[in-house]
Amino acid sequence: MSTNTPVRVLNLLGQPRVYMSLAIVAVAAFAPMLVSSSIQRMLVLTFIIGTGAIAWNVIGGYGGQFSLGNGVFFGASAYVLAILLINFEQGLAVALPASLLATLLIAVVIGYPAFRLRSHYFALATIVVVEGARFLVRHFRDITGGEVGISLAQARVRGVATLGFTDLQYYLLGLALFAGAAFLSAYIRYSKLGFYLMAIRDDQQAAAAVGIDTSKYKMYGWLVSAFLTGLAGVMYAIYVQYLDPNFMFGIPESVLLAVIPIIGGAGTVTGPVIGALIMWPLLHIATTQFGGRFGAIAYMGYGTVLILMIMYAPEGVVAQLKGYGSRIERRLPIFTVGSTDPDFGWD
Amino acid sequence: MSLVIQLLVNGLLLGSVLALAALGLSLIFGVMDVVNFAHGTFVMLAMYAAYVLWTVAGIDPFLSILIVAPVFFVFGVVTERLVIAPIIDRPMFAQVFSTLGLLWILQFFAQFVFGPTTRSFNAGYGGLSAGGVIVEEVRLYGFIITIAVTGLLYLFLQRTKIGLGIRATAQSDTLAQPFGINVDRIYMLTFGLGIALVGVAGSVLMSIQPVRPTVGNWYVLTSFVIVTLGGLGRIWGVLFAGFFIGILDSFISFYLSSPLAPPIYFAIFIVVLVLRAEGVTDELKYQYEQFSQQILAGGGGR
Repeated sequence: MSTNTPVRVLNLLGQPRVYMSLAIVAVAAFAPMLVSSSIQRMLVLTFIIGTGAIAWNVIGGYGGQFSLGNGVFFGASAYVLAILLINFEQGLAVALPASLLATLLIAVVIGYPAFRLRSHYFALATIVVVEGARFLVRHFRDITGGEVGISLAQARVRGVATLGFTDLQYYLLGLALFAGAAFLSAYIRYSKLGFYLMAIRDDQQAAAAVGIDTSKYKMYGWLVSAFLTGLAGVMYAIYVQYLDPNFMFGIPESVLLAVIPIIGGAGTVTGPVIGALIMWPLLHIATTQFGGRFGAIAYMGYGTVLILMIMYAPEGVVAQLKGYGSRIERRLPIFTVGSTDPDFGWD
Repeated sequence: MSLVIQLLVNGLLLGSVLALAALGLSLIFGVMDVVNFAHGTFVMLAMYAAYVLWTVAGIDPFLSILIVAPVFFVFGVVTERLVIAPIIDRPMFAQVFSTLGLLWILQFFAQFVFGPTTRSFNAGYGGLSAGGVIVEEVRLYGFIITIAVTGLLYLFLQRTKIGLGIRATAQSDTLAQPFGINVDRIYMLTFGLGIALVGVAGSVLMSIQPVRPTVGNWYVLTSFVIVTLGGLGRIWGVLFAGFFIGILDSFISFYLSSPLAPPIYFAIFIVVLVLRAEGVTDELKYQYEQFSQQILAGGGGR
């Protein structure tokens, strides 16, 4: 008895965790009516960094490849976009796909050698790429602006691109990106790619022995990760409109993309989402409200939390909250359409 | 010609201090199999220690080694007990992210205390000139200290009983244990010794290069490059890999541009890692041994 696709989709939407997630996103879309513009700005940045964290989780959480170099996708896509807008006077319609394509290309070039390495050697090979990229930005300062960075306001002045979205539009764009990334990562988690990546994470040799082409699926996961991080990068570029090389290709920021999902719960769908929603606002408030020195304290706090969590709760925050989540979930009805397995649902 | 010699000398002197900074990492990585991402931040803190000793007490950076190194030994032992020992038997994942957590704590501690500004000082050393080649005094002393420290470390590992214990643990911690070696204590000592070496390096580096809280990131990655090129746990290998990177940096900086040097040796680093993982270097070594044995057999004429 095979159910057709519309019925399957409707049944999926009838699942508590799916319709509740959609409801939360819908409620979040109205948040700008309630909060101040500075909080709204903080939320947009949370969505951007959170997208990067979700992207890391695909390769690092599901795939177990601890990339410390995802920041390079974030920086590269933003820089390519900015350079195409300013130096080559292209519109967003050209610059946006081109910068994402460039990011994927960079991902292939890095991934091809790096995936021949295991665990800490993979981490090392990816982290040097970020630091190397920072130096390359300084070397090619004629087009990258070097240490000074790039201001995208130039593009607006020259009338090349209109980046003047309203605050509400930026917010909704950011929310759509974050929610879209979260749903994509949830989809991947229960797809063939997700199961293959988790098999590779748990035991690469065993995965290869049962016929999984490990290099191929690691590269697929890596490309998804790079693409999502690239989207976060271009969103950052058109929102913040100023690119500082020490942030875009900074090691703390690149490592943050990995630390958020790890503290949240690596390898879970909700881990990077919850992690980003907790960690970035705290960091942002500490930095903007109390000055750079308190931002430094926030990072010191996260360093301590990271060490303690790895020692005592390596599954992350989400694992601690799981009991509450499933208790709520059990109380919510499951909506189904058409004939399905009668035992499906309550247990 | 004197230009080439000058560049070679510059590179050699730079490379020696880079090797000095990498020596502690090599020891810790080689013996404990711990990838210490916080290594560079220890270098950075040691530089600040030398800076504070100079500005507050007027102690010469080379003299401050005598204070910074023992303090950093204790610092290393405490860090090992608190952060490294609990996760030493955990998967690599735990090590990588615990030491990254340590990196954040230490780097942003420095940022909190000293602010993001770049700091440097001149302790009053000048330059020497010989045969058209100019050498900064501080770099020459740095070179001498590196050779001396490397030699002392070598003697310590080869000639003392603790050194023997460290070498045995490096080969196999599970086999060292039943031979009466307290592996736990060896780990503690090794980490302390590695961080003490960082203390020496930081004091020397402070008289050569400026410091700011973020420099640690560059030092840790360059140290990893040097340790990998030099061969894990090979002390003299670290020195020669340091020379190689220093000379490479010196020539690229002069003929191309200085920010281009790190990307180039990072690329070399990745290539070497991949070749090693694929077994190419082992194959080459085997071929070379076969070849040299054939030469010996032929030349011996027995």
